[in-house]
Amino acid sequence: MASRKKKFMYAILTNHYFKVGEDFIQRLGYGVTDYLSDGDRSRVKGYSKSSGGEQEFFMLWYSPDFAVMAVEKLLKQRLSDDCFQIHGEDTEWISPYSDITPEVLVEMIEQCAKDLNKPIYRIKKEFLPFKDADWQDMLNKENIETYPERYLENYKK
Amino acid sequence: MSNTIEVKNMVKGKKVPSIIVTNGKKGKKRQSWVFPFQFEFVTPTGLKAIHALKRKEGEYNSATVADRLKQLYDPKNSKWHSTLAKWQEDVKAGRKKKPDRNLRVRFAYVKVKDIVIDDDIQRDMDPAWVAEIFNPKEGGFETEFMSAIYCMYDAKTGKYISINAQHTLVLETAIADNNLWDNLDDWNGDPMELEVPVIFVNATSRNLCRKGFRVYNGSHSKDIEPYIDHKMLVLIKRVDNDKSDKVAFKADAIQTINEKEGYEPISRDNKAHKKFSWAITCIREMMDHYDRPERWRFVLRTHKRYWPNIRLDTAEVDLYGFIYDYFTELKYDVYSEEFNEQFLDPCMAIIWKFFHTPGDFKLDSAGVQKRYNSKRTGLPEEKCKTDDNGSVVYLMKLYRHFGGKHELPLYVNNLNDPQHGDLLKFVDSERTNLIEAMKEYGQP
Repeated sequence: MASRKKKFMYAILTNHYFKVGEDFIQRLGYGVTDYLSDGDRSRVKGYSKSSGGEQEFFMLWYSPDFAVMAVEKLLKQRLSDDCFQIHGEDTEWISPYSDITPEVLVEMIEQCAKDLNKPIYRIKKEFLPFKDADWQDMLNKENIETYPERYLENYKK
Repeated sequence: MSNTIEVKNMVKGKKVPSIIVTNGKKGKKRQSWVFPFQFEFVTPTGLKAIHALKRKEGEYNSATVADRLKQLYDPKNSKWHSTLAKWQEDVKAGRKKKPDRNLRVRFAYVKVKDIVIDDDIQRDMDPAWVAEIFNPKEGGFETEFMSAIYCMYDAKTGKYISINAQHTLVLETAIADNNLWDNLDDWNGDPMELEVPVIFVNATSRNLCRKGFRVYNGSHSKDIEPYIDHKMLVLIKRVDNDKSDKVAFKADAIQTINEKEGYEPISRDNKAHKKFSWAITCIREMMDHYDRPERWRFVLRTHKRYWPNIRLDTAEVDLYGFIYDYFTELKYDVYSEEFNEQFLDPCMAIIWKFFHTPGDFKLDSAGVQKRYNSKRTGLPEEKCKTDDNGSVVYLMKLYRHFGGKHELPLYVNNLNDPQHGDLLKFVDSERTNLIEAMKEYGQP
């Protein structure tokens, strides 16, 4: 059974475009998860299957002590005026009318962690973007916690 | 009561807690006991609060319908735009007719004898409710707030079928019958000849009447959130300068504390302000403090001291509230440096180090309590409840376990069962940092 506690946080920019007015715009989103890939389940492939196109996480963070959950909660509050609604309900996607870019979203996530005084660690660039490709199967909780310096940027014990 | 720090050397290897010697206030050396974990204070990054309710007598805010239309048409309101698009498509395709303007309600003064209360549609009359509407106490009955009578007009019989406000209708007639109306002109004294204000539409079917009853009795109305109640009360005191409403005085006192401490309550619909750390969204919990303003002040100050960059969480209200209750009862100054250093700082260090935020701590506490209660009662965890003060008891137990020396209320001994042991036996196995720390620093 999946843990209710999450250690990974991700940011996603959809590979496909949505028509918004006369423009075509990619959708920016975020989320937390307790696994990237687990047996038959794959977090990023879940997005791919439901959207009919290959998707990828352009940024990933890891927190051994579940701090990403607190970060996500704070981020949701800070994005309350910028989140995309589907049938009137808030989602973890950014509104296409918002000024928030992928770079700004990354800054906001890391600022939330700073404001909570809790470290979250970026997965090193060499492993990104994360598509759950065969060469990325080493990215899992066990490996990251055993060799954190190998996978995490600026990791401090 | 003595606030002397109890000094005890509890060195384990080279780790704290231990005795440290520091310069006291008057140049004297003093010995202090140090908790194994220190709270690391952060620099507040938030902006100053926008005080929407800080108003003077006669200072009204208003918006035009044009303002509201502009707000509605904001492209972000996807639900509105998709609803509108669906109507436009259906009308264009002939699947739906345009709403008929002639079916909007009409208004009339109608004689009581021409109104029928159909008990298939309306509820039975409750005489006590009629009396309640007519309550003569201050702030009770007010003629201006008597509702119009909602009816469906049946053209076949010429009668108006009442679908809402029968109690008001009966009361209005009874007041006339008992000669209590002032300025009641052009009336012959027969209660059935009294004319009452009616809002009506044409009845096309009984089914429509029954639906009307449900619509007018709230199934299609937006509920009033607690913020609106609080706002109205504050404005009654501040803007209307109504000195007769005692609850408004209490609301004003709480609101004054909010403003002095740099906070502002916001509506659940106020998305623009939800992002700010000064925004209070746990309004019901705040209103529960109308009779305990000093408890609320302590909640706000404690939040600001430790978590200035995040919004006040519902979890904190009970947590700090119980701390206030218990330690003021024990005659401690809960704002003193000693209290902060010996009790609050260590407790918040536990939360920050192992659970990140008070909200996450409460979630974890609920899990621990449910596992404990499940073991004790044999019920599945999801059927087990948590105690109102369970989180503060859990926190005090952890504080004591890690060697905290401040005097604690006896509640710390709650959630302990001779057969199944103490609550701390049921900490989440996934919280490995906490479990390791409990082994390393735990006091027998």
